[in-house]
Amino acid sequence: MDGRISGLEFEKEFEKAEFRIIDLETTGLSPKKDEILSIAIVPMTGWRIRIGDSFYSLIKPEKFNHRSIEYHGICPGDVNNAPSFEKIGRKIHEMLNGKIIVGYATAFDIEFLKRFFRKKLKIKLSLERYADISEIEAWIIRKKGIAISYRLDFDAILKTYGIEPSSRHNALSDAYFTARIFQKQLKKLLEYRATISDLIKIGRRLFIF
Amino acid sequence: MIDMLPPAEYLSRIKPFSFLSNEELAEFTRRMEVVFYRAGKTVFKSGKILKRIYFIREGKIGLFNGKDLVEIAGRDEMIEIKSSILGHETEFTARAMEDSVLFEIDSEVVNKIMERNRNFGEFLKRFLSRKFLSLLRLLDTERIEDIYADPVNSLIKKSPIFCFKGQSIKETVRLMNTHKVGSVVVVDSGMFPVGIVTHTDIVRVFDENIPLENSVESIMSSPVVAIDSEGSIMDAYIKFITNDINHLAVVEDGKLTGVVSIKDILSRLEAHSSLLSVSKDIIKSKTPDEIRNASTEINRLILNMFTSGFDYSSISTVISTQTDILIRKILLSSLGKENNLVIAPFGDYGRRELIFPLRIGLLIVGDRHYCREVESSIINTVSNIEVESIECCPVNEIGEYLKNLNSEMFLNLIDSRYLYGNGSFYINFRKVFASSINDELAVSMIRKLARLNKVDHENMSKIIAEGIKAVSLLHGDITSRPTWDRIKILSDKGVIDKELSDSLKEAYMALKNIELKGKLKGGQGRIEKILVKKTSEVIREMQAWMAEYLD
Repeated sequence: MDGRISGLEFEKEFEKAEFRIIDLETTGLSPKKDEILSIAIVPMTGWRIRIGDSFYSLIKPEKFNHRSIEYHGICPGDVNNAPSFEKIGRKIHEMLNGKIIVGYATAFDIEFLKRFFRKKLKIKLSLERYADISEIEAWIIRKKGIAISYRLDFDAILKTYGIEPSSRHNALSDAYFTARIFQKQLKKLLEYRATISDLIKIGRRLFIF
Repeated sequence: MIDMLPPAEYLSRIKPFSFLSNEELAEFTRRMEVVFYRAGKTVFKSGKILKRIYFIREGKIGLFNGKDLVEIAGRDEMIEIKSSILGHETEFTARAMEDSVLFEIDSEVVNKIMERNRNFGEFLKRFLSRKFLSLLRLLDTERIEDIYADPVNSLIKKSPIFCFKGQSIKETVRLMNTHKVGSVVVVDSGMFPVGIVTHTDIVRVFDENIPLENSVESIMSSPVVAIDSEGSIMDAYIKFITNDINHLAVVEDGKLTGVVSIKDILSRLEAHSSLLSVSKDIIKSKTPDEIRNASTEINRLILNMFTSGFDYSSISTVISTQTDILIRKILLSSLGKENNLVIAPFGDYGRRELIFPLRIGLLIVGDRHYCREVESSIINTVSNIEVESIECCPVNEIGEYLKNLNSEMFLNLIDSRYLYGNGSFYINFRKVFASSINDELAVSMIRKLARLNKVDHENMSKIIAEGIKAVSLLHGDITSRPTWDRIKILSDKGVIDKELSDSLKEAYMALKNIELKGKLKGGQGRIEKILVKKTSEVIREMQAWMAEYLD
């Protein structure tokens, strides 16, 4: 009986939680040297992906690293007329500040964002609560008592949850599919009676329980 | 930007959203949420007015009436859309039967786009008003007019040229010349056609030196071949061929209302003349080999008509007529002009509601040995007609025979109609049949159908057909006719209200169309599956109505 009551409380906490699913495309892998080329943010309140309030923008870099084109498909011509990070920074700040950030390889995206806000806008972005869907997935697999013997890449996780990816690949559709995965992971977390603060710990691989 | 979102891309492949432009899809996506419901969670309760459209992207949603599960909706279906669009209260509580993902779209934007985008709007409107058949038509781009099933009076362009039987040949010739017509129908004082005079008859007048003062009656061909004004163009065509004539009188309640010529028919049917050669082949066939060859043409005809976009009602009417001719041919070649029996189709075939492959039921009133003969002569001559059942009724024991029938077979015989043999045997059979019918039979059938719990795609059309037949019987109608005609008659009499009768008719036709398509092409499309499912709503209403009707 006791378990069911606290289960309901977990549920309420989850239903009210404000998540922001993000995906960045960058010119390279180093937050120090490379730049952000595009950003997608999909808001999610509890179990609801509010795709109508999604945000996506290309960002004009200071210099372009041509070798990265093959990863993200964004060409110099695409971003010539795009706004600078300074221009859209406030909007991004408004959407993300204080929310729970969820993504794939999130730590890397967070690092880029923090650095950009500090360097370009001279503001501190509070992004302490974030989670990575591959870390959550690893935790779920461990909970089931199965050893992880393969990589938890994005496509593999999509497959696990029976989500068919779309033919088009960009930051916004990736963020959307990340949200779809996250909905299903949330359900598993709830079944294991995890709380939001457990979720953050699990998602940042700070603790195993 | 928003059109890069996968839900827009997903919806763009699905009817009716595929009717939307990219901008319209983007508008949808801007007002959409993608919501995850764990198994057991309530999506909405009954008695609510929904502000969103609920589209199932993944999983299964159960619709509950209190504790009873009424229906399960799955992927790509929309639930309780009537509430979302028309603002009605929801009928059912929707609950996730398994983990499900729903696209929830703001009704306001859907309503706005329904007004702007005609195809999208029409689709949803027809869906909502359960115009299932016309909805299928909307999807069907290959459709042509159902000219074969059009009534023959649609061919009549002017009032008929006629003369009275007492008039002279001279007057008649003047009439033909003034109006530039090839024929004049001769009528009696009550406007009932008694004969016809054509160019051929006038040539004979001159050749045989018949005085022009003689009455027209002396030279007219009589009796005149007539067709009821509501008869189909196909029926008219068959009358032309079988009687080898060029003019046909069109009558209403027996009175002359027009004349059609073979030219009128051919000009109308020209575009689809490939469909006509079939009946000609069947009509002209004499030997068993010729009959067999002609019979396989029926299969081709069904497929042709179907791919040309005819509805089930036209196809079944035409096919039943062709099957009648074929069966008559077979019987003529095996039994000759036999006068000691009568053969009457009953059940689906009796109602002219054939489906592919052709399965027929025949009632034989006559000596028992005829039953075997009839069955074997059909089986031995043609391979595409399956004799599903043969009922043998001895001529002198009709009453006894009927007494021993189970109620379902008894009701099946309502649909019997004359096909071959001794007409007076048949009249006698129907007389005894009519006197042995009691309302209790119909009442118990209606009661049984009203209580039937298992309603699925297999028995839905049967429930409608049987239920409507039983109710018609209670209203004194025991004439064999297609279910859609019965529905219309009951509606005209005010027995079924207009809304339910429209829904039933649409649902029945759509079910039959889908069934035929399944038989011809195999499988069902997504929209068809949804329509079949939605039809179960109509059946439930019909069941409620039948229960109420008995009270």
